[in-house]
Amino acid sequence: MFPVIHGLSVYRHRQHAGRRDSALENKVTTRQILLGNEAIAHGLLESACTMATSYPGTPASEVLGALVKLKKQHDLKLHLEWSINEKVAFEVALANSFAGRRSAVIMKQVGLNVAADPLMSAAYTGVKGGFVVVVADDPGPHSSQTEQDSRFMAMAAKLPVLDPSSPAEARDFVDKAMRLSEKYEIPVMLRPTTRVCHARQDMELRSFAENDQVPCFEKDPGRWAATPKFRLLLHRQLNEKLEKIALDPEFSPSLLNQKEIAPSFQPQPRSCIVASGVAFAYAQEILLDLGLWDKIPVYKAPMPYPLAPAFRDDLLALYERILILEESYPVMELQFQDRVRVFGRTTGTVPASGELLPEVVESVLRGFLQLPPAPPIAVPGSPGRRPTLCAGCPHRATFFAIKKAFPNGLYPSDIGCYTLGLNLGVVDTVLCMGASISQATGFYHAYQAAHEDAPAICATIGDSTFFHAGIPALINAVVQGSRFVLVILDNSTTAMTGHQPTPASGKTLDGVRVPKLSIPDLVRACGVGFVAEEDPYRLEAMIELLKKAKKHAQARKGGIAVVVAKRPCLMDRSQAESWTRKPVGVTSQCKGCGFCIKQFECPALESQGKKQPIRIDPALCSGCGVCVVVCPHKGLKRVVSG
Amino acid sequence: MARETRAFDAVRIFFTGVGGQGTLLATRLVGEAALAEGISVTMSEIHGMAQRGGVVESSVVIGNAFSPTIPDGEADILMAFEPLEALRALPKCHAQSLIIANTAPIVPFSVATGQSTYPELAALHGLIKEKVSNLMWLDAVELARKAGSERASNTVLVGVLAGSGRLPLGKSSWEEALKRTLAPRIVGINRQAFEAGYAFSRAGGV
Repeated sequence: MFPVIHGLSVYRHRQHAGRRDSALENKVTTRQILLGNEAIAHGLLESACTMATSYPGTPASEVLGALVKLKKQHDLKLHLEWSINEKVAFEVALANSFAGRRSAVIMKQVGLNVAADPLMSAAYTGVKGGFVVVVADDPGPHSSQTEQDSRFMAMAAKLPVLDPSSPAEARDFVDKAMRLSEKYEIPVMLRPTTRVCHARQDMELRSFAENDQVPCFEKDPGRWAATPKFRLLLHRQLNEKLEKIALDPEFSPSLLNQKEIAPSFQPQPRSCIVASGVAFAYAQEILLDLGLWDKIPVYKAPMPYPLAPAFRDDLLALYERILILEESYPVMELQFQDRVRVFGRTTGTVPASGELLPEVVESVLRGFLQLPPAPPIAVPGSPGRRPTLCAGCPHRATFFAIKKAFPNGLYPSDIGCYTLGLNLGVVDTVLCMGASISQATGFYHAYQAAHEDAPAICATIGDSTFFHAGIPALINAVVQGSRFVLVILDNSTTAMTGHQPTPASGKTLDGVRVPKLSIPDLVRACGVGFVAEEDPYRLEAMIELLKKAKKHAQARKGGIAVVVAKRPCLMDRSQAESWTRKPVGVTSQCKGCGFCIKQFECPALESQGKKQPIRIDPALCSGCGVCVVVCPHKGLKRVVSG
Repeated sequence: MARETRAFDAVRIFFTGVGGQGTLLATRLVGEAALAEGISVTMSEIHGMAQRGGVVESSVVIGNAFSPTIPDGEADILMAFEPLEALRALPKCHAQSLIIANTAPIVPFSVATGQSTYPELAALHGLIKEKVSNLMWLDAVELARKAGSERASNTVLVGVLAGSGRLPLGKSSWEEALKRTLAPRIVGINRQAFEAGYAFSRAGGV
């Protein structure tokens, strides 16, 4: 009745069996399904982490969220924070490590670009308390600007990196990383990918370790405040650490199918596979499916960098052909320094972009093992589905107002939900956090320096992104004499990643009251002369304000104008419902022109065919009423109840 | 055959739907039911655009497997929360797969703006049936409405899956999963939705 795929016997566990895991001293408590990111959070607490800092970003966001929950549940003694950005997060947690306490910083791959400065330097200074840098990569990419490989960043910084292939392994690797870091006094990167972060797996829960590490910062200026001369010494020490780490047997690649490989079997030419991360899990499953698990030696590398030179030399002596499977750049492959017998991304054997899905790995394996390709599977053609802003999203109203006030404008934008303003034609550029403001400056001066008439520039940035990287860019824009309108889309939360607080929230994760920052005050302090706030649901007032702001930006004695479009995110359940739901109805004036659907794109507005009046989906409509003003034909109106 | 010795390796279930339909919750229900039964489980989901009208895909692998990602042609069960998404995910299925598909459409924007057309329901049914004969084709939203809440259509579909007999999971494990996964105030309504789906399935899926 049930499909037998590999012919392996079923693995069944006993609940609450109290089995002790020999590798770890912690007591087994119970069994639960954990998200990969939750498993990492458990790993941190099992290994006595005393501080974790983070900036939210998919697919890394849930690690700190899980830590916050566990801290509350178990009344734990540790400092957790959503920092203003990744660089700050890194430095805060690093100081805790300098004070001899185990620490972690968590971010997504593009966040590490922001934290690259402390990363490179911390490799030289080293650490005291174990310091784990958790960086989640996003091959695909599913929700990122790039599919860059953070293991390369570890390599560039000369830091060891661990590459887990499942949620359970990610949890175990945290402890390994923590110990490795402490043993060699070096930051250690843990690099899960989306498929690990957002996989769920059942595992035994373990109790958390006692965490009573007393902070003790030992002054050592030659190390912690090293001048360039001492930096050279630190660099030499770093190189020595790396050499030793590469030889540490706990982290060396191992031959996974040693027992299964038939000793008499010698495929010609002699081949083997080296894999890490999720690509390893796929390869194992596919080789079992193809009946080749007992024929091709498969080495698994828990630590893709640094690889021991002896491992490379041994493999090149033993095998004629070596296939490297890893995500998403050739990190192990480049350490092999052989372009003839080593196959991977640099030889075109493995695609140089895109996620290594099981289908891709199968096709690579078949090619490498000279098997016929798998029969192709037909993909049916069907209309695509693109994501859109939620019904009632205040950003949609603001974007519509911008379109009205800045026809044919130039619209630099930024990273967040509002990137979806693309659909409305009001987002022209999306580069990285904070770039909207610097690019608005660049565009302005491009036209200005060429003595050309500039299109009216209206940049958009979210509140959390503004705090993250927008403030230096705004100061720069002001002091460079740029002229544009900046709209700060203030929904009082970090919506895209699951509603993390911003510096304007006025309290910490633990609910402790702290100063509440005012965005208009900050903007004024950056030297902006025109600052005004408006509610995007008051659409007509918002359009008027934007026109006024545009005038200021273009006036002889004007300058940069900032409009704060303020209304809480509808999906943020932690904020009180800030509007009165007023159902909207379709009037006899609606002739089905489709203006509202094409120009406003609210998912609650449904076309019923050409020249047919539209329909409002009552299940989706938030009752914000903005569409009533959007319709040029009075085809929509508020429904008065009763 | 006694459950302890039943020879099965893994059952792979692929879920697809549109952001807001509750596919991820349904995925978790199935995972928790497997755990309650004492069977290993791995799951995978793609977040990010989940709340915003995009396609949401997830998977559950019950039993012994190394990876939760389901390659093309290897889903033993396809849970499609929307008929067009059933067609889009069809390459995941093999000839013996079971497809449980909700027939209530969610029209994409490309259709609303006239850039593409939504296929006729009958045509979708035909295209799917051509490849996979084992198809349960039902209006889960209607069943959920009758059971008490339109929003519980995801639990209706989980009930259909439970009633199909394709998974080695007992009724008590499903009950346990509902209790573990859902807030207490919504367990009742979801139990009714689950039962509606279960009964539909037991009646032969018609």
